[in-house]
Amino acid sequence: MNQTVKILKYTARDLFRSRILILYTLFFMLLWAGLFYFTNDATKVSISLIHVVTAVIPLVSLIFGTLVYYNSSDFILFMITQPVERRSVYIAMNTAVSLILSVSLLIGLGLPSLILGTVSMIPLTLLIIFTSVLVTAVFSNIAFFAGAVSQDKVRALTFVIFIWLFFAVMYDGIILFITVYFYEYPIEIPVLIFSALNPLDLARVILLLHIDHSALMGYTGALYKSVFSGALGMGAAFLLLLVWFTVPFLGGMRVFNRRDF
Amino acid sequence: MIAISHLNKSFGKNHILKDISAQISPGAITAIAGPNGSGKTTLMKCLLGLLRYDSGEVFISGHNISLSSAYKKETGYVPQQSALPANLSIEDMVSMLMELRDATYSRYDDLVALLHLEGQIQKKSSSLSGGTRQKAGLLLGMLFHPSVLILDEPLSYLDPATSVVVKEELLRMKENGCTVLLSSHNMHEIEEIAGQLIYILEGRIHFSGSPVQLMEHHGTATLESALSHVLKNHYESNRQNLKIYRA
Repeated sequence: MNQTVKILKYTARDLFRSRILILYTLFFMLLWAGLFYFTNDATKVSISLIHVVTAVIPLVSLIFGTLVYYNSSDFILFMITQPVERRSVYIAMNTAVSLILSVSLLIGLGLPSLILGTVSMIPLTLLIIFTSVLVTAVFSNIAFFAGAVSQDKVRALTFVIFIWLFFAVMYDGIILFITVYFYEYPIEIPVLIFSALNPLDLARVILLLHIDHSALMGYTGALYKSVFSGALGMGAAFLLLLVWFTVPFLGGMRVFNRRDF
Repeated sequence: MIAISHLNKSFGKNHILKDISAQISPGAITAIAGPNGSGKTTLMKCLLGLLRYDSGEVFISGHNISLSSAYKKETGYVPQQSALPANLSIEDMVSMLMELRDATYSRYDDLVALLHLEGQIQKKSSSLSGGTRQKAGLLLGMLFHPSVLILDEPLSYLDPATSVVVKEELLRMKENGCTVLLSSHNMHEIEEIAGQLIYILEGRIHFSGSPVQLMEHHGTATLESALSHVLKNHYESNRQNLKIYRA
């Protein structure tokens, strides 16, 4: 653990100096400020932001995570030759990516909220930031998993872009197809299970359950609300998102520990 | 001391290292050479714990490397490519390694002076030239008085003056009992500093001994000519075997 923290300190220092992060922070600051500029309705601003959170954050986390993994391949190789556990190198690098993206989000979303937001918006803003951090960690873990599994950067990038397309774009279409095709059958529970398999659906459900905007919740969100009450639904979605955090993380670490470099 | 016994390594159906056995003595500089794809990088990666071999045993400084990672404390590694993250300096990297090893003493100042890195140690790695990055790699590899030093093409990007300094330093480390193992394509370099040569061909050790011995055996004045004889004979014998097999 001690070794992990030491490596994390230096890898985070390296990544904090990256210009991409400044752009990422500025993007959220401008977006947040822009949304406030166009409307003063806090709910509308939050809903617009939720769509961005569930589209941009996973894409950036996946691509940035994958690029960091492959751009650090010589460093990773060198670190493995040092008296350090492979596990420590993996945990430190993976955590560094999640950490610096999360700090960017915290500044990019938090600072405009402090300046432009109202007191009533604080709980929702905190929830958006918290969920965004969790989504960042989930998708950074998937990026590192892809890096650990494939030695080929292009193949790993193709895989993570497909993952993003699948969860952010195709998944809702598949659920819609299933619900339309099997509308005569009791498919609520299968659809609920199906939505739990998509971390972005889970993040969306958490945020929309808080806003309680049923029109935007979609089929799966409405199902969550009917099966669980608001708080229970959010808790269940959080737990499932934690499973999404854990599985790629442990899977990636297992592969990394055993693979050839 | 490095002892390799019946080492085998395959990637899928490709059998890369075939029953490699060798003793690499302390107080000597041993060079690993061979044509591209012969298996020398795979062998070095096995010694460094980067690749898991299929069978055989490797002992470094008395530790079986598949059972214990204690040997890594005594092993220095100098990669061909710089291992420095883009936004860290040489100084950052040294601090990290010192913290990781809980080291209170290293050869840092001595090596910075030796490699003329004084003006470079605080610069971001991305702003360093290829040669300076290779010097940084040498510094990191030699930093903790390793008893075994493994170098992958250590002089390829260096200017002639630094190359001489590094060769002298390797010879000095050898005199102090360090086991130095280096891979190189530059036969002149090997001839100059290596007392032992392991020549690998198609995953097998084709020759193990002193470069002088090899040159004498083939009656050549340079190692390069001797090795070209070796290669010519090897391919000729392969052709003959193929003819016999077809017949």
